[in-house]
Amino acid sequence: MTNSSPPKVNPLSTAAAGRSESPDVPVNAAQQEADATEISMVIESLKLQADADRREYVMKRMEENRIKVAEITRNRHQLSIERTNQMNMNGNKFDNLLSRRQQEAIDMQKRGEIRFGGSSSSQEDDPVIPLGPGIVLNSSVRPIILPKVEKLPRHVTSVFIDRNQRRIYDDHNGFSDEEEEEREFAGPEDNIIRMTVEEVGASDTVFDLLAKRLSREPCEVKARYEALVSRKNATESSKPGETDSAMNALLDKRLEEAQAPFDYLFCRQCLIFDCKFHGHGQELVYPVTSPSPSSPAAFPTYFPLLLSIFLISFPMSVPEAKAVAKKKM
Amino acid sequence: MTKITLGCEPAVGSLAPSKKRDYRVTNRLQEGKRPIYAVVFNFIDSRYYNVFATVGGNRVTVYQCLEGGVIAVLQSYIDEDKDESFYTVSWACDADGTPLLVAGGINGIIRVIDAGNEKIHKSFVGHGDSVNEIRTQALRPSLVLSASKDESVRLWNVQTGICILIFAGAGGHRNEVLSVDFHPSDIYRIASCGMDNTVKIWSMKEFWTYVERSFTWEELPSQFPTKYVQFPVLIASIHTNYVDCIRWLGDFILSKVNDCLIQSVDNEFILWEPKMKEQSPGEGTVDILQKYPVPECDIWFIKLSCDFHYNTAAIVGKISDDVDLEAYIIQATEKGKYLYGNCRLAPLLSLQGYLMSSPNLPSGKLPCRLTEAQYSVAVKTEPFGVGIQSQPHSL
Repeated sequence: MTNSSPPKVNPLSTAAAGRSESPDVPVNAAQQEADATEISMVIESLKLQADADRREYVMKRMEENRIKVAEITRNRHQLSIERTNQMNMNGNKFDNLLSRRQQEAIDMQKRGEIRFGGSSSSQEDDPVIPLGPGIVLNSSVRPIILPKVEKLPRHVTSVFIDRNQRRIYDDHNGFSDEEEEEREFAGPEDNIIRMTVEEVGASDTVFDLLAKRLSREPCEVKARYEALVSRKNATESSKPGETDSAMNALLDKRLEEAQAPFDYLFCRQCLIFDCKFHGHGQELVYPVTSPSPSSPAAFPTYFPLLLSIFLISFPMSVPEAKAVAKKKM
Repeated sequence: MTKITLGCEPAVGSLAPSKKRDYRVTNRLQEGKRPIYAVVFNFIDSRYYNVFATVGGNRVTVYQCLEGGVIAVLQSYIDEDKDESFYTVSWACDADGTPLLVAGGINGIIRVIDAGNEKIHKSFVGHGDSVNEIRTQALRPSLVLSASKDESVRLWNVQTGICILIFAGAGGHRNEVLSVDFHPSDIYRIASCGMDNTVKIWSMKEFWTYVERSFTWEELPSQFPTKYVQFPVLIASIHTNYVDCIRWLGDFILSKVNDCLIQSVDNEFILWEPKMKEQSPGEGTVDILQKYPVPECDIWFIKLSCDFHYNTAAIVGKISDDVDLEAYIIQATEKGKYLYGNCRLAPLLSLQGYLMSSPNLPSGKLPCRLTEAQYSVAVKTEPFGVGIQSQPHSL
């Protein structure tokens, strides 16, 4: 497909400049592709560097641990020898039957009393049948009976952790289900994001490609970058809460989305979800706790209460709630 | 499920062996008609380095390795209850250094056998279901841990017969606990794993006074104030299926997941580092360092065995259908090194398959010299009542 209109910007100069140029300048498809390739290369090389750093770290940790394990086993060896010496010091080396049997076996072997396979007696009590080079079977070794012990009677109780408590626990600990997976950004990923933007700018293409590489949403990556930048710039900031405001806004949005099915199913009269008598889609009234609308504290107080009522009365996770709400709508 | 972020991936080993190990089978023994579920050498007392115990059916047997590959049977204990089936055994000792054997199985009763005096020392009734694994604290061999199908882990004092702690409750396992291990140097820390796919790390620090009291308790054991530890210090969900074996390796954990139920998925060992936050227990991160693939194996509960120095580990390799499983004792040509072998097969499956420890485990490809088997033990299993006549195999 030919491009009839002349390019507004010289493609070569844009590629060379490449640094934080306004992303609003319209470029043609070919140039976009060139940019994308360059950005990809930058990301790729940073990733290779991260891989190499990681390998180095793993090897270093393994070596440190190996030294620690060597110390541990040396210590254990020492303990086991001390135990032997302690017994020897107490007098007769063969003061227990195990040691005595050990010595008897050695003596039997010296005397040539070795049994070989094939001629095994068929008594039930005969413990071992040799199939190979032979064993020494001390004929004075009789099986020792362990007397029977009464077991506890089987006691049936109600299940301590039932389904919805388990759900609560899972959610609190962040073992969320597939859809709502919340992954924190790790150190190396932050570095890659920051350095990529430093090199090739902060255009949408950059965030798209980064998002693909890191398996996240572009808006997440962008929010993370902004959080990193503002954190760096706000060293003298007196309001530390604002540095992560971009991230918080994103999380708030997700909170709203997650809450929507619960809101739809909640019955204000019965205080349960999915009420059979009063139906769904009731208009909810949010309690106003303080006159300042910008205070973020007002909103969260409502949701956990709702959630705990919900989870106690109706065991469901967020995607299940969504599915139910969808069906009822 | 812990997601792995970029820049924090583990190194993955390969199944192709890099060196050929020099092992040979020196003997084969068959213990009656029962499956052998566990084999364990004594690492606690240097006099007994060449002594090992096996459990199978309702029997506990003690053997000794002699020169030239000859094996001696030293002692044999039988549970009067014919329906008992021991799953696990561990060596322990009391304050005088008398060797003890601690065995547990389907009855849920833990037998403490005084091997020095050839009699039963104590029987612990307490678990509500079968006992899957018993481990001894190497630094204090009167303390043992038991992992049970009743979803709890218990700490016992085998000398005084007291159940000191029970690790269960709100934060405990939600399914059978399959494996448990003491931290090698931190005496307060333990790790457990099970059929709820999680690994939990627990701390006994705030309960340690109870542990000390259990040694000096004068009254009846049943009057001891056994405490519940309900919350672990770290929960790791790095596996997607039953975690059937866990071992501490210094500060790292080696844990194995068994995807046999899903099938066609290679199982793997994962070597990872738990990073706990001292100030906030319950929070912490997991850093997965290495993964070792294990060839497909459709039996559960195959445990890992390590040698004394943790230089080597033996695991079970592929099972094929046409050969009988047998118990092997493989002696390294080098003397003076012994393997603590411990394998267990699920009683649910009886296979006429071949269970062999792979001598050619991958090493050399990985920075850690983890896998060389010096003594390896494979376990025999047969359907009950079938006579056994196996052909010798060359390895």
